[in-house]
Amino acid sequence: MNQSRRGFLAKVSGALMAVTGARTVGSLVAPGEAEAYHFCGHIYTTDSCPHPTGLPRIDSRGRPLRARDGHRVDDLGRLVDLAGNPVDEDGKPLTDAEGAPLPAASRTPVCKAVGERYGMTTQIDGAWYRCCGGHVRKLVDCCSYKHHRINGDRSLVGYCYKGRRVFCVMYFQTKVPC
Amino acid sequence: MLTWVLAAAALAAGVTGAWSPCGFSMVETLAPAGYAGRLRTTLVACLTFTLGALAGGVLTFGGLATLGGALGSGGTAAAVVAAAIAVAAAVGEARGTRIVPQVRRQVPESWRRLLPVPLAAGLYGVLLGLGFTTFILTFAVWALAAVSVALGDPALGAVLGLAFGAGRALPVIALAPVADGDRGNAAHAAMAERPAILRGLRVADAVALAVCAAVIGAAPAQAAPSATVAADAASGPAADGALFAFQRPGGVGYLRRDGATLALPGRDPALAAGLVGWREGARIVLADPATLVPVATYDSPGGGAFAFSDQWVVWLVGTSELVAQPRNATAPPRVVARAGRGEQLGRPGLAGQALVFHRAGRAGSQIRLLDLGSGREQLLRSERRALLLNPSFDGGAVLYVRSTYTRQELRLGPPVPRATTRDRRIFGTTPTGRRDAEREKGHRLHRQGYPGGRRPRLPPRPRAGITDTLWTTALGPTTAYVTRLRLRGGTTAAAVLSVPR
Repeated sequence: MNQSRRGFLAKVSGALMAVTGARTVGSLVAPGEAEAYHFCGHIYTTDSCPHPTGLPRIDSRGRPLRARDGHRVDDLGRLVDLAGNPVDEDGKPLTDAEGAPLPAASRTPVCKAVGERYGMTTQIDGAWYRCCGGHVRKLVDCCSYKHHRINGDRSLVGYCYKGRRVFCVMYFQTKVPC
Repeated sequence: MLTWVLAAAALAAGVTGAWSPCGFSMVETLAPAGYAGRLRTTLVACLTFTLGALAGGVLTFGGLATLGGALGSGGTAAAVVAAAIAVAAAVGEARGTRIVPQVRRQVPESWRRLLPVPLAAGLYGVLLGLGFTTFILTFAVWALAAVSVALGDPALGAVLGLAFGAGRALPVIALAPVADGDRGNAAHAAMAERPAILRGLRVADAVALAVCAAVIGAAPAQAAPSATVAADAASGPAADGALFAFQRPGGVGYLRRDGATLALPGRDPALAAGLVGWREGARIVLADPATLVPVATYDSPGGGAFAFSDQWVVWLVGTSELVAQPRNATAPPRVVARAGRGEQLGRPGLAGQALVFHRAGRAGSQIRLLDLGSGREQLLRSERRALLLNPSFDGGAVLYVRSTYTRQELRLGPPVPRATTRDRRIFGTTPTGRRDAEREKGHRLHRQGYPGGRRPRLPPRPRAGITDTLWTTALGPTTAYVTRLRLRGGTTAAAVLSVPR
């Protein structure tokens, strides 16, 4: 009887300690779901990298994806198939008036395109992950040695290394639930 | 251009302000015999007055423009409103209408007694430069304020303010140092006693405002030249002199001459050297456009779109090869260009023996010129992350489509290697792809970190559900043509648009 009462009290006190400990730890870490500036997860003031369809969503290789649904897009913002040929919303090839397929265009990694457009060397350095819309999102900085950023004002170090600073930001939406 | 005419109007408006009670008072105040007491003080006071007037002008007009920008001004509608206001003010000025609404206030007289004259002059300058703190002598002040808000361009507003401030300062600093002399007295008397001078200035204001209205009104047209539909349900345009031809998708070609449109016996029409051409199966036929009686035929198995000149015939095979043959058939057809892996070649454009065509693919896009006589090939235009498509060539200029994620354009330039951005943009429309709102649901457009919280304006996007692609082109003596492919609801429709060259 005493043993079982002692066991019960031990369990309750253990649970209380666990809750207290979790709260303490929880107070030390940032909230997992980050709602801040123009897209979820981005909590700094640097603006997006120029992207063919607006929001700077990229694939694992840094190439542009349509933010809404993750479809591949080329540098003109057209949906493209696996081979890079332009397609419509149903996945059928875009054609001319006689049904001949329209030419493919380039599909440049967004950070590389930024470098070409602004005449500088750019690269992706580090990243940070946050929970957005029920999935883990990787926040990716496009870094350069320039001391100004796309906003026109002074750049920040962000997730960049070796003296590079954040020129603009992108994100990669993983399929990992959170 | 717009900056210059607005600055001229603001300068004129500022000068006109010298006829106000405050303007007259300033000349008296700053004169060596007045509160300044001596010429050196007058000159220093003139300097501070000028600086104050410039600062006041920038504050007012730059501030109003910033306000306009914050309110989202700057579009075509705002430009139309600005032009209308300038016209209304010009009419009022030309008629010498009494200024309404009027600001019946003056600068504090006591400052010139209580403060050092240079300091008082500087403060007076600020108040006069502000424009709306004292009597207004011209409608141009109201009009330019409204234009500043409507255009919403702080830099333009600042220039306008500087010009206005300079205009307010000029008569004062010109007259005050010599106010005690005969010439100064005469000028001062003329200002006060000859209404024709003020009347003339108001007419000058009217002219300046009218020019402003014309330039502002023309600006949207320059930014987005208009196109009209030359032929509906049509593609593959061709032009030569007064002749115009097009292909009916899935059907035959049509020739438009002397206001009448007639069907041709074949498809893929082409025009050049006073002849009309079409394709009949595997054969290209060239004929007299008046009678359609054939004058020459060429075998072109597997061929598609073609072009000809007085010397050559060139046709496209699929999208991978261009084949050429001399018009006089002294040599057999030969492949003159071949697409690389993942590339497409485009519809040929031909003038004499100069062939232009596009190479487009995942590595970028090019427009090339090939001399069919010498075999010498030149890269005319090249761009990564853009499509350069379907050039036309009349021997003097190359017309082509340039397509990026922000804009589709029809550009016209000389047949020499240079950057696409140096060519004249004669038509522009929304891009093929449709961007999103650049913010996620529940989030705001990013403004943080930009100077003044103003981020660059986003390019216009196409209407939802419509995918437009500018495609084949043709170049007439006064008109450029382009095919617009429009995908809507899974169906592609085509129309040929015409644009003045």
